[in-house]
Amino acid sequence: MSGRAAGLAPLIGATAGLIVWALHFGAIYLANAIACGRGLAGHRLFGQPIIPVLILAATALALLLLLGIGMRARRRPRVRDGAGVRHFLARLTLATTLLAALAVTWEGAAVLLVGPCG
Amino acid sequence: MSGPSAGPLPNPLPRPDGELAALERAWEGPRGWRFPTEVNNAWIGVLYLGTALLFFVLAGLLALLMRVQLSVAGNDLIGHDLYNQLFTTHGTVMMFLFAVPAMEAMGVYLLPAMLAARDLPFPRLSAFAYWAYAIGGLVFFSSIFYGAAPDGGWFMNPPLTSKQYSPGVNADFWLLGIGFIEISAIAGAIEIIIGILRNRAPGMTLARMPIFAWAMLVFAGMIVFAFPAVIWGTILLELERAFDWPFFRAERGGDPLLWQHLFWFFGHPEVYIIFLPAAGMVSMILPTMVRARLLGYGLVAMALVGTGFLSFGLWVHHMYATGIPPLSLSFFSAASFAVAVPTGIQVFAWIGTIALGRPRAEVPMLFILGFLFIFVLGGLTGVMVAVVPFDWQAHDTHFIVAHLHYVLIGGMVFPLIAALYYWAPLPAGRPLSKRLGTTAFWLLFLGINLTFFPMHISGLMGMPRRIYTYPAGMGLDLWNQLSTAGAVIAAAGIAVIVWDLIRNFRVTNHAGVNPDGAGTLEWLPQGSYAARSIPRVSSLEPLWDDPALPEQVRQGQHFLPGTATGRRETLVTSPLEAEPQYVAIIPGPGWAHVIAAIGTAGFFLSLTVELVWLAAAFGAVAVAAMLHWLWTGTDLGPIRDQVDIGGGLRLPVYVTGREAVGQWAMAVLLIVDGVIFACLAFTHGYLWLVGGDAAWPPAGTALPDPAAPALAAVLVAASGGAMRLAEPLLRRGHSGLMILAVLAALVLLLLGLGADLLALWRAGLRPTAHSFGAAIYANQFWQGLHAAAATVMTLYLVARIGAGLIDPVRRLTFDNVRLFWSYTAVQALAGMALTHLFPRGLWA
Repeated sequence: MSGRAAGLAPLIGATAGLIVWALHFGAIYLANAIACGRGLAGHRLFGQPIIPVLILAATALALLLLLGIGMRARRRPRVRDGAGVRHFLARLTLATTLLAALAVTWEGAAVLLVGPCG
Repeated sequence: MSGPSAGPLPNPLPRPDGELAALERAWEGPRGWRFPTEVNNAWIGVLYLGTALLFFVLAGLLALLMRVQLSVAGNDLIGHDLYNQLFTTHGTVMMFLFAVPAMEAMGVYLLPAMLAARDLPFPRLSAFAYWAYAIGGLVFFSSIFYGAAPDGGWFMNPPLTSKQYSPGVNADFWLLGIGFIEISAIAGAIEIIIGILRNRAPGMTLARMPIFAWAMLVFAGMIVFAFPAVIWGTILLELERAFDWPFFRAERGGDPLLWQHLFWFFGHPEVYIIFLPAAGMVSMILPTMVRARLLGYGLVAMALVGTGFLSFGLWVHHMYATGIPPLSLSFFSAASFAVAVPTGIQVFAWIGTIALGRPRAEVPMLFILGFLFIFVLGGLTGVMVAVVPFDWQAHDTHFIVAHLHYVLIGGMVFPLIAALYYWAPLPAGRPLSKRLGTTAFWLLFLGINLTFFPMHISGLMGMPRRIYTYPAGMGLDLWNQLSTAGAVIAAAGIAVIVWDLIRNFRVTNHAGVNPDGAGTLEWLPQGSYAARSIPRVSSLEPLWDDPALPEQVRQGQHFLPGTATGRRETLVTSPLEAEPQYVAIIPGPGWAHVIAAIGTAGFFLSLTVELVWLAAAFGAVAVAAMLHWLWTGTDLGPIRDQVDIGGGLRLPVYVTGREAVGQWAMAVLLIVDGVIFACLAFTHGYLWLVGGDAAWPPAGTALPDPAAPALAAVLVAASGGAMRLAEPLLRRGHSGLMILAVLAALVLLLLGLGADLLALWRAGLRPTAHSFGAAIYANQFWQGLHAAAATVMTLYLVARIGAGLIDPVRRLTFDNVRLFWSYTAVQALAGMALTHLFPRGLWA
């Protein structure tokens, strides 16, 4: 049997958007925790408070990655192949990426409304 | 969509004489007092569910006692000590001994039939998981009769549960008693993941998988990532309680919030671990009940996967009142809103499916409607408490009790009862009583709402959770009396269901009963061997698309209509397209898993009461039983050449490498292991963050000379190299040299880990002085456990080589040991880096 038949990579690939969400979530939580825990929240980057700049940059990067994943999924075969599983996984990728984009946007937007350390 | 039987069928009629009889012989179950030896998942699933329901009733009785206590102000019927034990045991039993096992039970029972598999790939693992859970769970529950039940709440927050404030064995019962039930849950999850990915009927691609299988795949995946956090947390708390290692003691550099992070990283996903299988069951039952296909199958699958991920970003919403920075809270608040989106998609898919079909007033349908009503209310209050300022008001009040019970009873108990009534004809051959089921529904629906709706009000009026009484004259009396009346009505509903089961439920081999005209494969004619033959699937509801299928399957016209080897077998297919790959031989009845389960339960429970010698004896029995089970039932080698399963397909009965399900199981186990190690690394990072650079390590801490850990790292790396060297020796058939290489690998590993430990000890670092030392020795403890496992595995491997059971073809045991070894070596090196380079190396 071929390696392709035995592999699980396409299924894991269908969750790529959600993996990006998890990395983004972990990164912004960690950044804020370290900044508050170590008294770095008052530092500035490009003349702006460091935490909002870092979080907005991480959010923009995550959204760009999600856009890339979504566009790649749209290029996948739209015509159903033999068993339709690749087509299904491409649609699953698109849907999970959309959900991830929504979550990333909501979480990143919090920095516009709430101060980092209280 | 075309039906599964389009084209010629794989096996022609008439079938050879004796084919069915041989199949029945292979799958014949033990009778009488030998019944515990059975490992067939169809049997284990029923036992599992029955035991879970027993725990549900027992924990429900504890809840009734609490409601009686709270029915009048100033009641002195139950004192605060017992009340503390009641709510802790109630919560713990409901979450760990009822909800998760009940869902695993539904999985191991339904999945083989739903996927048209003879069985899942590791039935003995399921059986072991069940017996460990049943024995350990009953002993754990009995602790309440001796006043020894845990009393620190189901989340066991230190410092309340530290030795200082909980000096008795109550907390240890939770930490050790529940600890191994978590192991049991992981064992079940491994079986479910690999069963779903590798045992589907030919043609059942991921796009045609029953939605319940999607739900169970996400459920089991979540267990793999969530349970390690609580396992690591319980290890730390027990190490603190038993040996005074101060992970959670602020005065020695620890932090009680570390426990809350670890616990809730498990605890919040746990809610979805319970809910998602229930949602999957609803998505299976509803189409049958309304005679319409599930609306938005793909979106529902996405919603399950999406919920599984997002639920890991919610744990801090149980910690809003702990002083975490407000922006951090906002991330979790936003994630809590985001997770409502996929849940909403599922709810709309169900409502749309109902709108597309013609609902029938059957008992499962009533419970699904009740589920929608109660769960949506619970979800809405969930969105309310996701708002940080509101949560600060409602925190630790009965409003939260109301919310969580609406979510859990609505989201899990009602769908489970719907499932019970829907699928009861599978094992019993006939449905449960519609009259009793309807009565139970109305009693439960009214009782649950009457119990918990008033708690929203009493909670907002300020009634706190976990307090055994309240004073009169605060306006709380009426709401509590209503809640108690509701609890009695709900209990009557459960009693009616129990009575229905006693009267009408008997396990039997049915002959194709499908009373509701469902479309999925579990309704094929079943025997002890599951379906007689395995069809090629080409749609989501094969029985609706091909009405002739059940009879063809029963006659043996599809794949593998008999036993190819005379033993129990299951067809293994590829994970995406479900193309047949090989016929795996699976174990039959035996005592090994029962003895191993007794040994495992006895080991942990003996530790609880500090009988170390007895624990050692039980542990030895468990390990011996497992080795016997491995020796006699695994890695059998190519006992036959390729076998014919029909339709011109000839398949091997033994494979190794990436296709072997045994390698998949080891890989999933190592993911669990890796997540625990990640929690270990988090422990270091968290304690450093809260301790401050100056305090972690504290000034004056003795640290070893860098040469010693460097030597230790070289030895561990050499150990990995020696194990790699064994592989080409195996390929060339040099058994003697291979034994030398494997033993050299073991010696090098033990020397490496020992050298590191010795260097730390000689430098004067002690685990009791400060959280820094405690965290480092916890790392050593974890590496030591791996060294012990590696020692047993190596000696087992050497014994098999010596017995001639390992050769260039028959090498599954070697491959698994090597995989574990590679992980252990990498983890040991990472652990050393953590000990000796963090944070000094980063901040020097």
